Amino acid sequence: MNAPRRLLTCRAASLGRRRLLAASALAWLGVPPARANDSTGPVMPAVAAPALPLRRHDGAAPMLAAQLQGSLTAVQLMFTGCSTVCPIQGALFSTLQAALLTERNAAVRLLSLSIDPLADDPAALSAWLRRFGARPTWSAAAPAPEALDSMFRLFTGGAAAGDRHTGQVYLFDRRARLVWRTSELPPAEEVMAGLRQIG
Amino acid sequence: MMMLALAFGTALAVGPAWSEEPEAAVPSSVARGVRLFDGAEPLAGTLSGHNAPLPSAATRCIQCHAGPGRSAAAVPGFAPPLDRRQLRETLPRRGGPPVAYERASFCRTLRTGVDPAHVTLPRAMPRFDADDGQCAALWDYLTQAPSE
Repeated sequence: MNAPRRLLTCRAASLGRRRLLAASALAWLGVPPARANDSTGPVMPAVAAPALPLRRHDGAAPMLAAQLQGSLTAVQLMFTGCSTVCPIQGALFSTLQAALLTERNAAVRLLSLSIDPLADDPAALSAWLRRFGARPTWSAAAPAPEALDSMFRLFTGGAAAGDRHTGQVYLFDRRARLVWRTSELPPAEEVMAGLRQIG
Repeated sequence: MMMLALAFGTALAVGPAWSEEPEAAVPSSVARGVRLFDGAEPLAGTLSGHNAPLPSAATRCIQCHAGPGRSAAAVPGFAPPLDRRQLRETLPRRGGPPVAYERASFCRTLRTGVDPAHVTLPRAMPRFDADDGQCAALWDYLTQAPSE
């Protein structure tokens, strides 16, 4: 009785992973940021976060806009089963978190957004956060599976599937608008500079 | 990994039939190369343009590369496999002119992120703080261990 659902789940999971791994390969090959995600630096005009349901690491289910509202937020795309750039991304957010702590800046939030909603349940996301020493201002979440394409459109502007996961960091203002894109796998200093620009 | 290292040792004890450079086939070096490749022995690395070194859990070669007798944790195609053929054959890489790696150029690439054709590797490939012994061990493993 459950077989059809299981099959669908496996297919969808496989699709998500293929998207990520193809995109990761592009990142490895040095795809210019402009091709991966339009550009780096300011996003003009700013792009409002769409109505996009999330499932967070703590089990809460906010909309993306509500998650981002009220604080500057740095967002990365990842998935917990990724062994290539994602461990590096986790380390970079950990470094960024330390830099924010050094500046006694508790107002900026970090969000690791999974592109593998079928595998990344709250337990997997919580383990990811623990692995990198995340503090309360660093959350992880996955979109509802049916919202994955909307999420990609927000970050890539509808780019081809292979470009859908990059190591860029996306900065949102307090009104939940995407206002800044960094380079691939940016140093913490670059993210901090972007945050100062939009703050 | 211990079994693989044991296999290397056993093979060398009965004769390195798989090695075309017996003078460079130092068993302890090859075994150490396996440990470095798998991350059992940490290899310090930093991303280009970054100040903070990455944690060792993020700098394991096997995260992205397949090695001789070792499958990559990633899907094939994410990063080039590393074995004798890939390194020693004269091949075009990353859009540069055809070139083969030598031990010295391999170590230089590992440390600087600039390959023998003077093409810069992408940022996702850390620049490793590898000493001569670590470099030699990795080179020996990658170029002397049999590919499957």
